Amino acid sequence: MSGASPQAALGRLQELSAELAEQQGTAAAAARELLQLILSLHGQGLARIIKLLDEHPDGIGLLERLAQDEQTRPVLLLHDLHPQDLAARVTAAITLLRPHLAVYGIRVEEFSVSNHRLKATLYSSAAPSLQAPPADILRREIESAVYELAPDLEAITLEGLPVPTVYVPLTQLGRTAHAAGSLG
Amino acid sequence: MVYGGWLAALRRFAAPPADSCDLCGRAVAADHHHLLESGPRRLLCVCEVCGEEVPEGCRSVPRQVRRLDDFRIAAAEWDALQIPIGIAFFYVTDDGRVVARYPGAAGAAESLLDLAAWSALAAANPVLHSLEPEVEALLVNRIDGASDYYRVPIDRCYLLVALIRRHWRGLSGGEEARAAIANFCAWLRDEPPGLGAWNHA
Repeated sequence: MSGASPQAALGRLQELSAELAEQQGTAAAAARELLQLILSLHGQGLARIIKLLDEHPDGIGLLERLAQDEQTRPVLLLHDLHPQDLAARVTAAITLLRPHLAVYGIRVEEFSVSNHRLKATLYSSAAPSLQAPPADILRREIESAVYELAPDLEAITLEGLPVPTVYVPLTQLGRTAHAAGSLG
Repeated sequence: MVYGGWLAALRRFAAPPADSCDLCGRAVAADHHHLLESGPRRLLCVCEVCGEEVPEGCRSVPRQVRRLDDFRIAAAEWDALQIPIGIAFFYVTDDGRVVARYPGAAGAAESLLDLAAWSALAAANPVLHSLEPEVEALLVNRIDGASDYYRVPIDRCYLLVALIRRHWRGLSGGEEARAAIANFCAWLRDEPPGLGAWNHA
């Protein structure tokens, strides 16, 4: 298990959490308590580490770097020590996504976060430089990018994604968008 | 079911929320929505996501409470309904019957209303014709001289039943129960459409 990539580990963590959350027995209860204890132990220790770093002259800017590093970011998030709140991280993720979506002729018109849920509306803008992938793939790409910075989101609802799963030829894209209204 | 990010899933397991969606387990706000399940008639707590796509065998419980200021029922008409106590709610079933539920010494009592009496009441108060079957009810409070009539979603009625079950003593309820009912109706009058802190007993 120690050889698993961080992504695979987080995926497995998510599966196990979901499985255990559905179980009522004593083993699940014991697992829950064990997890709480470990999280508490680590969390308090890490909070202390970060505080000491913050107070140390050589530690300036270190928290920011930890927040951006792919390996340490999950640890900060896990213990609620990330310097950016959920809204800020979602905004950052969407900002990073915009140029990639723009290449497909897609833009994020508006989005909001409430109750740990993200709602975003996508629009098809001018002619794309590159054919957009099918809706389900595009959806997964967007969700993946957002969950990377905001794994504490409970749901992502994307409106405006193209419904057809077949490729729409570039020449027809404009017409289809017009007929479908907001392309969704 | 696995959804949301890994941290959301972990937190759902490590620190289960006080109120969670009966369908998916997500945390729900205090003033959450309910669905009414048909088979064994029961309420399901649902989050916004699950509440939007109502599954088979369930229906959405409306959110709005309406006080019926124009409601008219004479003492004789009330007596004709044969409800022994001054607090009751009435709902129409899918097959057109009218069920009355009211508290008693032995818990919540249920009776089928005489349809003629109900029709007469509806003739004078047409709002009764627009009650959505199963999920909306007429709530009546005539205790201690009150004259309160509400069109309420069925989940409010269950809440009232729970409150009464907790406080009701003897044949006529006792002080605690009457105070609880009075509080409940006052809250119905003042509360905006959402439920707020009184969603569950």
